[in-house]
Amino acid sequence: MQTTITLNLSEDFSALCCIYQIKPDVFLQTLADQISFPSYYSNPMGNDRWATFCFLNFVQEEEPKYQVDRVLEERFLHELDAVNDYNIYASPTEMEKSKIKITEVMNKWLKEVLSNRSSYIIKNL
Amino acid sequence: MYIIKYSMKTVNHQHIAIPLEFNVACTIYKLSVVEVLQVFINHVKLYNLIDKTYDEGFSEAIHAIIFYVRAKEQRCRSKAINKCEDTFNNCFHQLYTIAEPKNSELLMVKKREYAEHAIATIFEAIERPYTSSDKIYLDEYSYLKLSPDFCILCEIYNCYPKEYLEYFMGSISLADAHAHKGLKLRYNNFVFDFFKKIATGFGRDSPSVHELSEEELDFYDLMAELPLKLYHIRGVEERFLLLQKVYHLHYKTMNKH
Repeated sequence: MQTTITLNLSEDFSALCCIYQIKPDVFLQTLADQISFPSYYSNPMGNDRWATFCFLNFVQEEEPKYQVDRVLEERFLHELDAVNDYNIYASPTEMEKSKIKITEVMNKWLKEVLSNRSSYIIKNL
Repeated sequence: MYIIKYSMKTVNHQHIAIPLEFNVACTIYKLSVVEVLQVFINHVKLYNLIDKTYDEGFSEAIHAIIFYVRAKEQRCRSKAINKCEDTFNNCFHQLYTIAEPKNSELLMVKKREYAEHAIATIFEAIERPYTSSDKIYLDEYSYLKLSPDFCILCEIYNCYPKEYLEYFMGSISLADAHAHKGLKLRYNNFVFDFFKKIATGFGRDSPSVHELSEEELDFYDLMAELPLKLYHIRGVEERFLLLQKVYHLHYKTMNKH
């Protein structure tokens, strides 16, 4: 999915980008790439965990402002936890397997959210 | 046989069992168990039983006592009071006079001070089967000093000091509190609120500056990240068990040395 976003870059962030000669859009693209429940939960100690951490922190702190279907969230997070085989001795292949399973859960979750939303719209026609 | 039975009975009322969860909480906040219990005892004041105006620390402490007594539902009248009923009634009358609405602009500190005389009078008159000593030993080296207020509250409700202290300690669980907080659930535990106050310095005189070891720094980092790491665990009980495991582990490593 492509998107054009207009952002106000803070002084600190643009200064850092300037100092290290990083294009802000390149950095933000990397950040966005790393935000993923499947890769985070299949390998919580991975080097790419920080972006998802940042997302989780946002959700934890700001959630009341956003509408989340709590019941669905609870159900799918539970399912996610159940299919995840991660442990500290997990080998890369095992992690990959967990990642695939979690991706399936996420797809089901998204599908459910979308179908709930569309049925809501149809009901109100 | 008789001797064994007898000694078990005396040990029972004196020996204070410190719950593991309470020990864990004290370790994590780097508090001494004796100090926390002493702060609790010092904030239990008879006067707050009568005056319901909020009085930081004191209100929480007296409520812990009231809740314990209510839960125990033991409605037999205190023998200790029977023997000094007149003095007791007179003194309580004095306390009610201090608590009258016309004195409402007085600070609670002042009112507690005015109440001291009446409380000392009760303390002199009352018999003390439940608090025969002012000191309670936790182990060979450390003891708690019981205040007159605390002793009187033991006597009028027929409770041993150990019961109040164990109720107070038993209400504290960091894992439980953090599980609720992480899920943004209300945590109605005023005893825990009081404990949190003590942890942040309330009622204590030792300044809380600590040298932290490498291990401890790692633990506090982990503790701060845990609510995020456990984001996908949405059940309170499940979260509680996971947090408890981590906290207990820290307690064990800290007490190995």
